[in-house]
Amino acid sequence: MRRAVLSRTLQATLVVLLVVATCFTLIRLAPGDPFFRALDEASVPADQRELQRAQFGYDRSVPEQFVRFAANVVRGDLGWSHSRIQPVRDALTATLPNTLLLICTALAIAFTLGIALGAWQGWRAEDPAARLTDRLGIIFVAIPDFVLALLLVMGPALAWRVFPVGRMRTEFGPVGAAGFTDLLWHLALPTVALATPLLFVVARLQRGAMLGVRDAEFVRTARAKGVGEFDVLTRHALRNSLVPVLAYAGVHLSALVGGTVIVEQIFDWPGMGRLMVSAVHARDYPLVVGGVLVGAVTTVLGTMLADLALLWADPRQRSAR
Amino acid sequence: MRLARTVTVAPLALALLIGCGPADGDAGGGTVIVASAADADALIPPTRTTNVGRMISELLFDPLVEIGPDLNVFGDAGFAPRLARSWRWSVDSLTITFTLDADARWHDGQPVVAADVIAGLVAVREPRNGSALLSDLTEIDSMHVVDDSTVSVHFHARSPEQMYTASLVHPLPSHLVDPIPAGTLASSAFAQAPVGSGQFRFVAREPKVRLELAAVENHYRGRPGPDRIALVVSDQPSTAIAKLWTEEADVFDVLPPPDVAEAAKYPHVRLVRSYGFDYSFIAFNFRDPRDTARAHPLLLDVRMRRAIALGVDAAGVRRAILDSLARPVLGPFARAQFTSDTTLPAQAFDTSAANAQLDALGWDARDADGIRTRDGRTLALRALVPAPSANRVRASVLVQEQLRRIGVALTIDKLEGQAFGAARDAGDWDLVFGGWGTTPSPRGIRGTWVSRSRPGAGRLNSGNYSDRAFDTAVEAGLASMDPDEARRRFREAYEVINADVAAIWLYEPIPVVGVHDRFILPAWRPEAWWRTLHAWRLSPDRRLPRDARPVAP
Repeated sequence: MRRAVLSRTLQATLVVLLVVATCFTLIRLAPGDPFFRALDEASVPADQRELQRAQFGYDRSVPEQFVRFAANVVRGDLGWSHSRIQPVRDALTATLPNTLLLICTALAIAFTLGIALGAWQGWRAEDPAARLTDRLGIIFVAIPDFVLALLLVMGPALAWRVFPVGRMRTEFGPVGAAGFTDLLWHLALPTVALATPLLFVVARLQRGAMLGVRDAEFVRTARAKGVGEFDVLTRHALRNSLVPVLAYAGVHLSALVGGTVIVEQIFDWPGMGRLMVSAVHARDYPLVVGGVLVGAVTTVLGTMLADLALLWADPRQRSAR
Repeated sequence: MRLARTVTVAPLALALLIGCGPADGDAGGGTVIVASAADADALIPPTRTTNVGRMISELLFDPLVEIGPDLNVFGDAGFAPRLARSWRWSVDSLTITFTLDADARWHDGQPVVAADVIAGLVAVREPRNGSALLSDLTEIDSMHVVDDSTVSVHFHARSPEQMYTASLVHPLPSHLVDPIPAGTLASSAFAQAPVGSGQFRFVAREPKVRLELAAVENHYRGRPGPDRIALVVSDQPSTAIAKLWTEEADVFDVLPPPDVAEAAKYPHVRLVRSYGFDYSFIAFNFRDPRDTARAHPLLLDVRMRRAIALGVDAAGVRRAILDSLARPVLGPFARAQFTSDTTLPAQAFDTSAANAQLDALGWDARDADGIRTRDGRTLALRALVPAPSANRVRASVLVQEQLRRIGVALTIDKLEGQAFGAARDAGDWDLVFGGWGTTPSPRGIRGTWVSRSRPGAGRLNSGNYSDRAFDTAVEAGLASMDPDEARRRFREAYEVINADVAAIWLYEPIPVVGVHDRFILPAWRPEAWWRTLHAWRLSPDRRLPRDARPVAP
């Protein structure tokens, strides 16, 4: 296990380094710079922009800039965000928790409900209700998350006014316990948009896995030993059918991060996705690279954790390694 | 398009149309939430460049003087005292001496002194601060402190816009700004949490999310009406506008045409129609995009430009995109500028004449697609279009079809904002769907259309239009101390550029601001609605829960 962790850590470090170096170079090759302002607005003359570029070292070669960036990162300095007028570290500190809140809530809901639904569908495969929910689930799997997000804005938020259009909290709204309720109220729609397609994918995976184990020998043995039906399902069948679902969690994490970018845009959720999109548009070099660094580390860590969970859950994986 | 409950606002009749101030029974206080699709790019005047940055910095910082509602930039008539209580001209008119208001204070309680005015100018003049105001303040030669409450502004030469130039100077608190190392103002702690002199003070900011300002209770110009102002930022304009529909916000500036019609569904939304300062056009490139040192092989010929212009139905494009929410453009100016001339003839649309002209130029053969050819070469042009501008993207598609009908193939390169700007500035195009934001002063034309060969001119003239007669008329108009003479010279300039067919003028959008009707509005400033925000009054029976929250200390 320790060797597996070490090996994955080395791989992860290399991946992060490559991702950051690629991004660092590409963003500098794109037209424009951090000092180009909005379309048709009073722009700053080219000679002034050159002075500004020099002030932040953007007139140096890309490799030299990268070395300086790496040295600063080691010192804990991610640079200055030109578009947000604040240190990159502060921008990331402010937004990363919001994204993690959204992703973790969506993951928790999608996997908890998805596993429960799929387990029930697989266990009761002949039940018409189970078959119906399985077919309905395909519809939600087919709907892209951004379409679902837009539908949620148009219906519950805009037409029925049951939920807010966006953001994390009501402007000048309640504080304390009521403030927490307000946060949950704002969290509802983006979570639904993000979690729904994933929930039904997980349910289908879980259903398939459950169908594979429900007539297995160990299940029949448990029944023969007089174990109750609920215990057979949860302690024997479910645990053994979880492996493919857990494997999927790791693979799906990066896709979920991608979906978050769009959902955050639509629901005005002040997270990393929104931050990164606006940073790219503004050619905010330090913020783009800092965001990619943090995003890559978070994604790699998440994937590693999922892999480790898989190793923990499935002893065969350990022996295979 | 139905423009329900729209109030049309003309600069000179604003007070009559909307009301002159608080009515009996209305109340001060309240929270004004401004929904926006963009955050302020800066909070302090020297480093802001965008319109939202301008709004926030002007709410936080008072200028020396402010241009009046009639937008007169000539002399000093109509200019209102702000931090400067009064002023006097020197005998030679090269110096204006301002006396500061003795009651004016910075938000930290320090008095506003003459050195603060100089600090404001120094910040703009430091090139590393990247101030977009630098070119506007070149008329100022120097400033000197007479005493703590008196400052003299010296100009290089007499010009009709000296007071307007002075109005662009926003003093900064020298006791806070002077210790900041030169060139680092934009990234200083002061720039992140500024201490201003305006009727609203800085409270808090989450970049790209929200910004909160609060009323200054003991301001020298009086306490403003609203308790506070919050700017809430959404990346998607549709999300920001939805906040106005759901009463999560009180203002959205500026509503796109489809949403102006949509507003009819929301009885609480009042639409205020204003004057715009932007105009859109299709510019011709006079240089070869492949080698900008050479003349354009096709478009240098005015007959070719005229033929293409004749094939474009600018009025049809305007109606199709903006319906009644745009005015025709008759030259390189916005109608709100005093040099505008609405008696100029509009560019003609005549496809028969366009076809005849192109035939006469030798482009009389057509290929299988109906595109004209000459000596085996097709008549094909490439146009740059900014993807963030939905109007210009739609216009480009319409124009592409119109040009196809006269046998001209137009390839549209739709580029995202920065890529568009870089390609436009590099001159890598035949046609560009451009737009300029102007100001009450016509002098911006020096940067956009005057020849690059003239010192300090043509910085944004990326199509390299150049005509000595145009340049001379513009310079004469800008230098004239007589408004009528200035108008005459500008008309000459407009006639020259129109005869040269430097561009096809498309439309001047009419901005429509959506405002929650729980506020009683004062006179509306067409060029900057926030300038009268201090006089907004909240109807007492229309308070929302957000109005009850105490203001942050």
